[in-house]
Amino acid sequence: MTKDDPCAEAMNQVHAFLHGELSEEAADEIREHLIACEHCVDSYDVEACIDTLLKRCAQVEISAPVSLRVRITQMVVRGSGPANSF
Amino acid sequence: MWKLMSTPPSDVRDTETQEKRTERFERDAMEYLDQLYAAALRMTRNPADAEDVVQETYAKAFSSFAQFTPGTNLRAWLYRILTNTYINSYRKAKRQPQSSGDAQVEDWQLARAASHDSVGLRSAELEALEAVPDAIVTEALDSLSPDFRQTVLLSDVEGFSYKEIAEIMGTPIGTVMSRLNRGRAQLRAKLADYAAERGIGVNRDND
Repeated sequence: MTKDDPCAEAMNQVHAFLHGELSEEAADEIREHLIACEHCVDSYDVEACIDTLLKRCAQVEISAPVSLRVRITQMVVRGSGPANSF
Repeated sequence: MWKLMSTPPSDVRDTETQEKRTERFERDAMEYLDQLYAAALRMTRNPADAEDVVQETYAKAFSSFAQFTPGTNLRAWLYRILTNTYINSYRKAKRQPQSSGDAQVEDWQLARAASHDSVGLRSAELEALEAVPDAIVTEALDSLSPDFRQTVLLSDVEGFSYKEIAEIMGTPIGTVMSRLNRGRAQLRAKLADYAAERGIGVNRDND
């Protein structure tokens, strides 16, 4: 069905295109469509912008609390102590 | 006496002592602690719950570290454990009000996304979108149903490939793609709403 509607087809694949998941051949088809279709290129710009917004959220540096790191390290060290079973 | 048949001799697990394995775990897996904590914080939205999920993740990862094949994708392996831990213990225990996953709600939002589309997105709206603060983006993400949200997080925020996400979430790639498409459509509708409420972009003065 979407084959009859190149815009729907292109938009259906726009995320895969943005995420670099398409084959070069398929990506070229999207590029060709975007060049030719003003409506889709507007829509693509919005999707690309949302990509950027989401990545910006991820750039906030978050460190694990030191206490958590200590607890996990202790757990690992304890867990690997001399085996009781032997 | 020892029959070394199927396991390739290059596998470090065949010869290392428990002590060495612990060292390898500390060296390789602890490197991802900050990333996993940040991911857990995004999933749970609560520092105390994030700590619990991460600690449980590391406990499980450590006890099954012998099953991890050295040289394969450790980050994806850890995220898989993290995701399962979150889904199994945390999400079941605390039912979230927005996690209806109701198909009708989703389709309605999809229809709205489509209507935004037909309004025509002008560069002014794009400018408004670019100026959306992180807090609003996070809020919009949080309003997605858990599966959509998790897929968008793993893809757009954590940068995993669709194949890795399929492995992490234990779903076919087709499911990853459709969750991503629908999750992103909902996200777009919400962000476009925000931009429109600010009166920038969309020509809505007479709608």
